[in-house]
Amino acid sequence: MAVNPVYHQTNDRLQEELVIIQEAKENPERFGPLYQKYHEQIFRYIYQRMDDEHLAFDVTSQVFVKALKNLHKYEYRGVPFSSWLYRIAKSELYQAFRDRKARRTVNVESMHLFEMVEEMEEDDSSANKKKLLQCLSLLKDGDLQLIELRYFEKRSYREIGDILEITENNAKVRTFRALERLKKLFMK
Amino acid sequence: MEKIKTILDRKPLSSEYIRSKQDFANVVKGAKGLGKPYWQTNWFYGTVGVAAVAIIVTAVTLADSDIPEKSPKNNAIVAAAETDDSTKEDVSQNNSEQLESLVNEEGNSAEVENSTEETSSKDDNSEENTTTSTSNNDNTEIAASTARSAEETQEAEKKPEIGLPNVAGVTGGPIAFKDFCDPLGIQVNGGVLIHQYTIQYRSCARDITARIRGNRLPAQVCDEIRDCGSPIEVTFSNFKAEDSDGNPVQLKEFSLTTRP
Repeated sequence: MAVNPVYHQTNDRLQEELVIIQEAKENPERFGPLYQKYHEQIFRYIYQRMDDEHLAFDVTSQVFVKALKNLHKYEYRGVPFSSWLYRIAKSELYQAFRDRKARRTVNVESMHLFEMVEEMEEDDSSANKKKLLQCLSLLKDGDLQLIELRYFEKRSYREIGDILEITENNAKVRTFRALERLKKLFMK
Repeated sequence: MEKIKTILDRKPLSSEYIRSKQDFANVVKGAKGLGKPYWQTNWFYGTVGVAAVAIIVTAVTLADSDIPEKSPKNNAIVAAAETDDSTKEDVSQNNSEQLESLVNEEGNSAEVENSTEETSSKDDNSEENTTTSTSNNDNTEIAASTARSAEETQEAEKKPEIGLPNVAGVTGGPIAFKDFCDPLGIQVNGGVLIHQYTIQYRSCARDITARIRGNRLPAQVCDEIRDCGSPIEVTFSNFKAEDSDGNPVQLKEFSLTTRP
């Protein structure tokens, strides 16, 4: 399974990023490189979960406004800066669902559905794909989030753990259990 | 949360398109504009703090002003009571003049002279006249209250004279027998009433000590001293007395020596 190449960085890259963050704490204008670097992936993370493109851009902009405003609270913990941005994005996303009546959406590609049906050792039929889509909409939000992060966005367990503020192993276990629950729904 | 919407194979957005939507200047502007809520700002805490202090100070000030002893009016009265004798005389003179002018307006000059004389000679009349002028003229209210305060002060100064008991005006030493047996008994200036006292004397080779009720000398004592025929020293002590307000008064003992 492919991993997000932007997320996983060498230690030198992380240190370079930290220098920019320290400068941005003093001068917000220095935040520009981080904004350009992470804007697309944060937008895709948000747009993956809602069907309104303009609203997704607005929420993305709001994520960076909040990040810049609270940059003085950021503490480096050896993980990429994007994990902090993802946590803000998750918070803003649910805020958008509450305030703006945005609808929670799951965007799935056929290829991903095919992989998941294979994972369940079932036939790659259109009926099974349709059934799987229905089962996804019946999942609890926590389980759906794990399935999305792992199977639709192809993130590593380490990245999932950083975004959800859990350990890598815990992310692995929770994702496995979420998949088991999806299988149960599928088999019914 | 309502049912989740699933979308299959949505048209992906290109990276160029997403990049074209970047607006870092707007983000910086938004971050600067996104200040603290007003209740977390220093000026809010300062304003609330100052207002709270002002309210507390006002409440304490109002609470203090409700105590009558500390009111400005009473302070003025106390200050007036503390004026010296010359001030009191001036005030009394002013009151007399005010009273004189008041009566002159009524066209009765004969009564004016009488009332002026009475004012200068008797304190009680002065008080009555002052009260009259106060009721007739609001402008003299302050002067009248000052005069009353002065009179109260004078009465207070007279109090030391109260404690001199006497028999027929004699407060000690020799006294004629007829005066000694004065039917008025022991008198005290200032309206003090004696309820009890102790009498002690040596009459015809025997010592007598008796507790007497009232202020008069018992007829038995008078007869005994008269029959003895020689000068006898009589001591009056342990007085139980009250002033006109009903307050207990301490009287000094005194001794009289009767002359036959």
